[in-house]
Amino acid sequence: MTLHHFRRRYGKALQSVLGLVIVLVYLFPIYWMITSSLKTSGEVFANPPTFFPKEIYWGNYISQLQNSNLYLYLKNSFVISVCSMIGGILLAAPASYALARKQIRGIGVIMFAIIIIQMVPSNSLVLPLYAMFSKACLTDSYIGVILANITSSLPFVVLLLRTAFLNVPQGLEDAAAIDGCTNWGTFFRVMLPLTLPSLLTCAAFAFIFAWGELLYALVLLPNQTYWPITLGMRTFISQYGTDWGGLMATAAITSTPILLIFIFTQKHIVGGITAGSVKG
Amino acid sequence: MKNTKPGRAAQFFRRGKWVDYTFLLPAVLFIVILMIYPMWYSIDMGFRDVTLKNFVSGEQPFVWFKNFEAVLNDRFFTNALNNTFIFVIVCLVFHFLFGFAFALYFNKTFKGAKWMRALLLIAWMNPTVITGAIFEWILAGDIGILNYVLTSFGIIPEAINFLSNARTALGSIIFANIWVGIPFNMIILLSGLQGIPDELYESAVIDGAGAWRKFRYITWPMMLPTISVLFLLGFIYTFKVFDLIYAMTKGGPANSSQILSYYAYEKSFTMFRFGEGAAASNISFLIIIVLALIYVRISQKEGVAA
Repeated sequence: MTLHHFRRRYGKALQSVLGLVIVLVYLFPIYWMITSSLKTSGEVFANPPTFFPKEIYWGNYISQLQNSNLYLYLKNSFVISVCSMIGGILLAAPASYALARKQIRGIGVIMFAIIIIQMVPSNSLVLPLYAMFSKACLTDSYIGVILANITSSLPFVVLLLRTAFLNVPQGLEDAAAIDGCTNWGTFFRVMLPLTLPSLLTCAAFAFIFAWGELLYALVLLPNQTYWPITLGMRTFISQYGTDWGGLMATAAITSTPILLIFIFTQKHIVGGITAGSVKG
Repeated sequence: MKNTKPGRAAQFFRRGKWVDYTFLLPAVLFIVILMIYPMWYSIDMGFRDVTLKNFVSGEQPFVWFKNFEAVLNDRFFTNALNNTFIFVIVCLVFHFLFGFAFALYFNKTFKGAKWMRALLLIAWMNPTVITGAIFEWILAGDIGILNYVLTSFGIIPEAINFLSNARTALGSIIFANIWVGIPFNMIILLSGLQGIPDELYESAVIDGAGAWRKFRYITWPMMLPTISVLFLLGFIYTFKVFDLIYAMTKGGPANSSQILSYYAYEKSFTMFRFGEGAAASNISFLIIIVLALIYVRISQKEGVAA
């Protein structure tokens, strides 16, 4: 068998194998997080390190889950992320519908402003928001950090949803109008159901952004009672010094919601990244 | 003039045109109050003497460019600025090289290519603070896996405490950030690759072009608009990295891994010199706005953006 024949017969399979190797090597840090979290503290510090845990050890997870602060932080993360997600979608969906379908004066200016604003980082907004929220007594509360989180996702979600609304055939909207639907009626009964996949993608993005957010929480929440897990897990580091097994268990627990969302929405998310950032 | 104005207004209300604006109103209000006004607030604060004493209430005297002078003469600012450019440029180069290599590879039609692509995105989706913690562990001084690998292959004579060594701290954060950004670059470049019509390649094959010539004369020129947009976006995203630095080194040791975003944060929230912090953040804000304007310009010209 010549090389040519070999490549023809097994080329695709070899490509798959090599692809898998690339993925595995690249995702090693994730693997290392999971394996380290499943090792006893003796094995975590073992030299040479073991690539697979000798036996699966759940102790790190059990001790982390017995820490009542972990629940507090996870609960806070959920409250903040879910509210930021709902708030962001509620604000963005009607606006992006109007931007896609309504004849509105100054639409070019608004689109331009949104694209530019999307680039403004939280580092630039955190100080003025802190000043404003201090005056309005919104620091040290869920509301302040939720509002701040919405600023990160709103422009992105508006741009993404606008594309989705643009893709709905005009005829459906006209039919609804003929049937006597009001403007808002058409929006709720026709447009939203038709763009449900995009809405869910945006919700996933908004949740993921908020779940991983650190800076706003760091600045706006001086009090531990409202800390999300991204901020709270830093206390475990200083608390335990070098309990890497425990820290990796916390890291794995914190990543779980993101991984779950990702598994269920992965197809849409890949499309969303390109639509939201390049096509704008 | 007298006739058109009331006519227009009447039309606006009678035909229900105003309802269209109710869709837009909440989001626009939100953006104006919580994004545009704060930007103005921040610009204004950069010109005022704001400290802990007069932060919430009290007179905030207007001091012209004093804050900017103080920041620009601060050697830690210059240090942070240098670090920022090293950080951004090294990250962008490696993001692009790996992202493009991955995109070219996973653009092929072998079994599993699709879900492998998606799997790679996990690195990008995972909260950055978590990534920071994982790399802290991988890079840990004596027992980290990277030190084990490097010492056992004899690449370095003895274990390095990567994150608490002033010569390696910034490099370690760059390393972690390169890892985070590769999948994003891959996805954007993939979408560009998939936009190249197959006919171009087919006719090139008929003309007898090899793999390199196809890349050089079709892929590369067709990808240039996507690549230029990607570099601009990448610059903006890398420029504002904060979480990784906070999680891995807090800018240390001895400010060796401090970039502008972290410098501004420290000025405001650990030294409580809010005026100077605002000035520092306005400088980076200005850089980002200029880049954002270029981005809009390029993407409109090339038709990449809607």
